[in-house]
Amino acid sequence: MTAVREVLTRAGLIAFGALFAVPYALILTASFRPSESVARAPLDIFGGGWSLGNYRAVLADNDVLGFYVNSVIVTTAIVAAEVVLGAAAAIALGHLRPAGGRVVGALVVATISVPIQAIAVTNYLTIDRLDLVNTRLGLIVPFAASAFGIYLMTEYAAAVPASQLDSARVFGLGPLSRIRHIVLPHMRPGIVAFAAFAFVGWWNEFFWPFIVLQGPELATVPFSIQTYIVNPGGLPDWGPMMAAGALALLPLMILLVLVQRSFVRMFAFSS
Amino acid sequence: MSTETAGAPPRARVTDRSRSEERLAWRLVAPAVVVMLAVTAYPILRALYLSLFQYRATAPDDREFLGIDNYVTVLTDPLWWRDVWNTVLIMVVTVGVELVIGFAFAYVMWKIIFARGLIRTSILIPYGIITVVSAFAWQFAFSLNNGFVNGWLPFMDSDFNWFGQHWSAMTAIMVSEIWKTTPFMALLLLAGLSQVSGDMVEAAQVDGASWWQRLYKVILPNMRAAIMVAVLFRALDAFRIFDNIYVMTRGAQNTESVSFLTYRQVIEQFELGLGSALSVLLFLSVLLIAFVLVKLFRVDLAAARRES
Repeated sequence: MTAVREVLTRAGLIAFGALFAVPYALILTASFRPSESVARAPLDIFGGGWSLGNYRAVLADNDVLGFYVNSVIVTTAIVAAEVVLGAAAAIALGHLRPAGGRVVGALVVATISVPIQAIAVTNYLTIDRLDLVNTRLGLIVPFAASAFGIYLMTEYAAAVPASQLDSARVFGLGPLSRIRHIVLPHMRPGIVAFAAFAFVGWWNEFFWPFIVLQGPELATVPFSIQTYIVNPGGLPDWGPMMAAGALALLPLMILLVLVQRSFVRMFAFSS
Repeated sequence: MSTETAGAPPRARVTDRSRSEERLAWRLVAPAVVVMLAVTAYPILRALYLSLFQYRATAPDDREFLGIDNYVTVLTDPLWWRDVWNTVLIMVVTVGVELVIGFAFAYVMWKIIFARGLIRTSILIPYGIITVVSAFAWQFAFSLNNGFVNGWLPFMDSDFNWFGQHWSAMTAIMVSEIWKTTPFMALLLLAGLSQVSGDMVEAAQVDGASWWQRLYKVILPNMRAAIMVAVLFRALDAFRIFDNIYVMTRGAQNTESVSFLTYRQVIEQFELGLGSALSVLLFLSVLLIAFVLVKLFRVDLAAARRES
């Protein structure tokens, strides 16, 4: 009796999961179909015949390739800065623990919840004064350090077993080699998971580029999809848009497949 | 130098070493702190300052001190309260629904024994899709002319215009938000579930606890912390919703959020003073939400401890 119910529950859940997957399947199939056929009969997933035409069109269009390059450059730069600055700060706060480090840690935690929109106005004024409007630096610099990243990596740095550190001290290892040989390897899964998390987030960022950029030259993918792949009439060119969306998803999927394990563990850790 | 160190008593050597470690620590933490001060702390303080002025980007020289007038203007404007209501509604509904569906997904992922990696990865797909793309796709699905949602829902008129009135437009926005972020929620909850001991659940089962009892008495209390992190994460994120609304309605039919209002004041109307006041209020709202959630869960934790 309970077994039957459990099977039914699980079947229901799986059906529900499939329902979640349908829109994704539609996005993906639309990326292989001609735009006018998608617009006319979105659910006829083979309508108009499948081809790589949209992908070819998107990839042949130098602008679109440029958007990808921009996205890769900007996202990578932000993530690299967040990881390097964040890991350094985390080693200091979680491992070396200087006097007064707690205060710094508390201040970091306090800024985790600051929404981009709350600092966008004044950051824009600063960016403007520094002549960084419509530049890559203007897209990157405001996000070079992540409070969440520092917090998370600090937890990993603080979790190194004391016994390992003690024996390292006994063997006369200085702080730098302790960090290199014991603390950093311990932090690695946290660093990897945070880097992936930050990459997904910044790859998706629409608001800030939308504020800072003034033309297509430096446009990132989300911004360009909103601004340049929509027809002048306001109706999107569905085929190419979905192809662009699917292409934008590809690097993230590879990334998530690679780090999926440490990703789940990261959130277990952050609580 | 080296003889000096060698000759010093052991205690002095320890403080010497710890002093150099201390110096190293500050050197490591300094770059991040400098950046955070420049791009987070300074902008907030500056917004606080600018919010006291009448200040238009088109006429920067006519800056005029107003005191708290900007705040009075915002807080007495029904537009602000309407947008706060919209934002809170979106936050509460989406996070609530995501919590329930997300938990169901997480539970299945926890229980399932085959193809775990594959299933976990595929559930992450919507999380990886760019919000702008998903918002366009949902706008299309709900659209009057060639959308298919009306056709799928047997109780809907085929000519119902989802974006024609407030409630249905809000529903469409919330559906797209829920679809996009539930997998992420599921992942956060899965992290919590993986900390629940399977032995404990089994022991409860052996003792004759029903599925619901196991869920309420064993599983959920043991993943409180994870639930709190998930809710906090998603609630703060949902509160600053912008992309979906911008793509799907541009704020039409009273679907504006607080972020959207700030954006409109600053970018479209060039009202930097008023926009700064909105930024400060947005920040305070987020702090308030975080505070309330943390309090709420703490009370809950205490109650759970008393019960057990």
